[in-house]
Amino acid sequence: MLVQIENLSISFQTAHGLSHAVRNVSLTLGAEKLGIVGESGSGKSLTARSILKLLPDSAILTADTLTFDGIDILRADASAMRAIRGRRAGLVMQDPKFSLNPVMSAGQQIAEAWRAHRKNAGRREAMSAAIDLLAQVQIRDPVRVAAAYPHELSGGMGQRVMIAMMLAPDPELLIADEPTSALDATVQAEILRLMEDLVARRGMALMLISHDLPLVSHFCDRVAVMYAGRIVEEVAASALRGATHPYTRGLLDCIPMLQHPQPRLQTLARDPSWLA
Amino acid sequence: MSDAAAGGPPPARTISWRDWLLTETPHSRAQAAWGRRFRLWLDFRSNPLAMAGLILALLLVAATLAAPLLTTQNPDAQDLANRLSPPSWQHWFGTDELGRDVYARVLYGGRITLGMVIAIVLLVAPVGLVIGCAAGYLGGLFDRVLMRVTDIFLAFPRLILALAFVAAIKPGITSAILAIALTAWPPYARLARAETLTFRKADFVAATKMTGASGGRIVLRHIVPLCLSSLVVRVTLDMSSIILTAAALGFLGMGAQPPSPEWGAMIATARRFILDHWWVPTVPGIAIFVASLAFNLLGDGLRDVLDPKQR
Amino acid sequence: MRGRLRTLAATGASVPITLVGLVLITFLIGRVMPIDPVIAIVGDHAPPDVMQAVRDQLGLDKPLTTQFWIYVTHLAQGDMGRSVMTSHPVTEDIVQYFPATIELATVAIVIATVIGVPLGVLAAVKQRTRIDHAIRVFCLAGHSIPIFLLALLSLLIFYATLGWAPGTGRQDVAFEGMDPTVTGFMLIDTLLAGDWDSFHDALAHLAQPAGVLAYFSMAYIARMTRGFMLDAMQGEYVVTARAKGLSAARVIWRHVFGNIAVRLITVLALTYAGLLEGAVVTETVFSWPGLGQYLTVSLLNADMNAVLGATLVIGVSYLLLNLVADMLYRALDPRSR
Repeated sequence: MLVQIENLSISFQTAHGLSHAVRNVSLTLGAEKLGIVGESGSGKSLTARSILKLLPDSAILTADTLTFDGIDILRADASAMRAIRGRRAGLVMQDPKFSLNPVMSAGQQIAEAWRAHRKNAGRREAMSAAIDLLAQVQIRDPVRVAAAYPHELSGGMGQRVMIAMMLAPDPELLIADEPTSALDATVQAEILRLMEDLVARRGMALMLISHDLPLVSHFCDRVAVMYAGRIVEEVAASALRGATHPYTRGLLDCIPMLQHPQPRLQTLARDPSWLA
Repeated sequence: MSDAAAGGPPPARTISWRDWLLTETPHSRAQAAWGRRFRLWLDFRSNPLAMAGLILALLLVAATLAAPLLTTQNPDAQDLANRLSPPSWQHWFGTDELGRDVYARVLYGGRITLGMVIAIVLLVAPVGLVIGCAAGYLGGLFDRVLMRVTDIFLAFPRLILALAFVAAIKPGITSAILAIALTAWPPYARLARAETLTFRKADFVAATKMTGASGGRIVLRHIVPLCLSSLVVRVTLDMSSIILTAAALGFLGMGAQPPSPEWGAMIATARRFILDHWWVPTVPGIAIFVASLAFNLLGDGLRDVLDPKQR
Repeated sequence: MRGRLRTLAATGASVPITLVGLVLITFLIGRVMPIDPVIAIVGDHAPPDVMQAVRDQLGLDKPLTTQFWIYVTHLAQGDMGRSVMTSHPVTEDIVQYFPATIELATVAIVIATVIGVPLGVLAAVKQRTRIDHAIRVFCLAGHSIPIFLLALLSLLIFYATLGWAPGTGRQDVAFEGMDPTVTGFMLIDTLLAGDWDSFHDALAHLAQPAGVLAYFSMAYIARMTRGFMLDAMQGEYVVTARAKGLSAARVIWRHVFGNIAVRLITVLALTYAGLLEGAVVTETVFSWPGLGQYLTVSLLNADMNAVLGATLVIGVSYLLLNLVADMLYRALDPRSR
């Protein structure tokens, strides 16, 4: 079991008291593709980032168990975390416009990731590895892109750079936090297929976070649905049609489909009991 | 709430003014406006440095206004037998080179400094605001010319330009006020212009125009009030810089002239005594420091409250 | 490449207009504002024939535009009139005194940057801790204290009480005039002459005024650095850098600081310009023979030519520094390419 989370809670101290963003979340992740679905504010990003302890300083993190491959994340110190981050688990974020460093070229950023966990690696070695990685993420002109700056790249290319950067140290787990939400619809599928391909080839585990239920169910083995900081349902992707929790059912019913046109689109009626 | 659900008017009970201000459902625009101001005040109050600045500034103003009450000494009364005496019970901050009581001079000098600052601000802020808003709103040649003019004024360091101005007219408090005012207005015009440019495209401006409002009315009644909060922050922060510039002018002999107890001029005349009678130039210097500090803290606090993202 | 040259050219194009404006303002101050420009130049006690000569020279009976033209053409030839005080041409005086100010300002900005920037980074990294508060207080004090007070206190503490630094002036009387003036920069000239004693003396005399000016600008630089860092630390790319497993130091310096470095250079250029202003007062206190002191002395003597000449030179320097800052920004920031 790669990731084991039991009773994870994340709260923030605000001017109006304690805000509980994540409440008693438990999940496990093995060598599989897990999708976490939820709307904005459901706590899905925070849950995923807690594995790498990349939460804001003001976050209060508690859990019964929070381990990565047996390593206790809660009690891990800075150098232990540095050994896990990048080297063993990578994080791809939503918008490459913001998640890439604007003043470093794409190649430099990937090379930096490549060198970070390889002692005595030379700069030239790292740069050629970076160009090689860019080719692996299906960028047609890797040399040109390596020299380019993030603002010169399209959204899709930027995201590919991001993926290349996170795969450079050869991690075991890839956490993708809404990797396609900032991309055009046509590019979304390409990027996901790319990730799926790379993950399968390298034998990695994948944690895919999204608000897009059909997308997640398509690319993942298991799906966890989050609402208001809690996991309300956990099913195999193939069994999603038969989900039982009213929130999941509501989400499924709301999806407009060409094959089953409806005169009036469904809306989601929230039941306050879900917050309990 | 169960009361509302039961139907009928809520029970008549007196609510505290605090609740009235902080209510989530104001009944009138005035109530909402006051509520907003009160919330800003609460925010401000939670910042200890800002409160320190406010209290300090208020104390300063109070002290200078109440100068005759706080000291019985005459700031101009010379006592040559007693010159350059150290702090004592009779003269709390000692006496200067002509035997005058330093404490009294500092208090009365505060009036001059604060008076200058207020005069400058009253001149500069409205003029800069109106010019900037007009430039931003009208655009075109007027805007370009104006921006050129502010560029030119901003091309000089403030003190240097003020010195040059004062040199052309006779040195004195009025000249100093005019000179500093002439150098201080450009940033306000630019600020107002920048704010106006963002608001000019707003829908509510278009709506007001469609109801037939003239350009002047739109600028004065709608855009200017929106620029006020950043202007207030800027003015307060600038006050400390104006205090320092006025003091520098006084120190260089270009502002208030002796025997006026202006703080900068006091330091200038006492400068040569720094080594043996350090309190004579130092006390007015500390007064300048405290005044400048007070407005810096106040301005920082206001900025945190009115414009948090600019932190 | 061509696009970059074009933007640089556009930036440079606004300079001449502002330059003309500067000249216009000095003209207005010198000729239009005073009640009698002639008296402003030669003083009350000049003999009538001198006054008449000056009046002719300025062309005061001619229309204003002609006067302005006369003024501009004189300036273009490097003629800023004659100083009543020194009885030298103002241009000569400025050439003599300006290097001292430049030397002072340059040393001050170097000290201020070397100390101020790391302080700002430290304050940002340790935000809301006691170190941050201490640094903020330090910056606030530097922002609120009048320079002349600081200068006087420095003399009191470091010269009179502790005896660590020499008194006012640029050199001890003993060393004056010993080395030939090559660049006008005392530190360089003494080194060029191989005169170690003079060099040490010059350095010792430079310490206080440069230190005072340095504190003043260091406070500003630290505050701006802190502000920029705090802003930049909010960026998502910081999370990415941490997620790569990079060390905290590398994240702070290579990633966050790397992003603000260009803005910081602009701040430094502008601070340098501001030092010219601070130098006016500091030089007066330390009797430093620079342009600042020249300006204040000519002010007290109501020597209009000198005042305007110095003002114009400082204004032009300010303008050029702003221009350099702008150009550096465009050249170094990859986003503006």
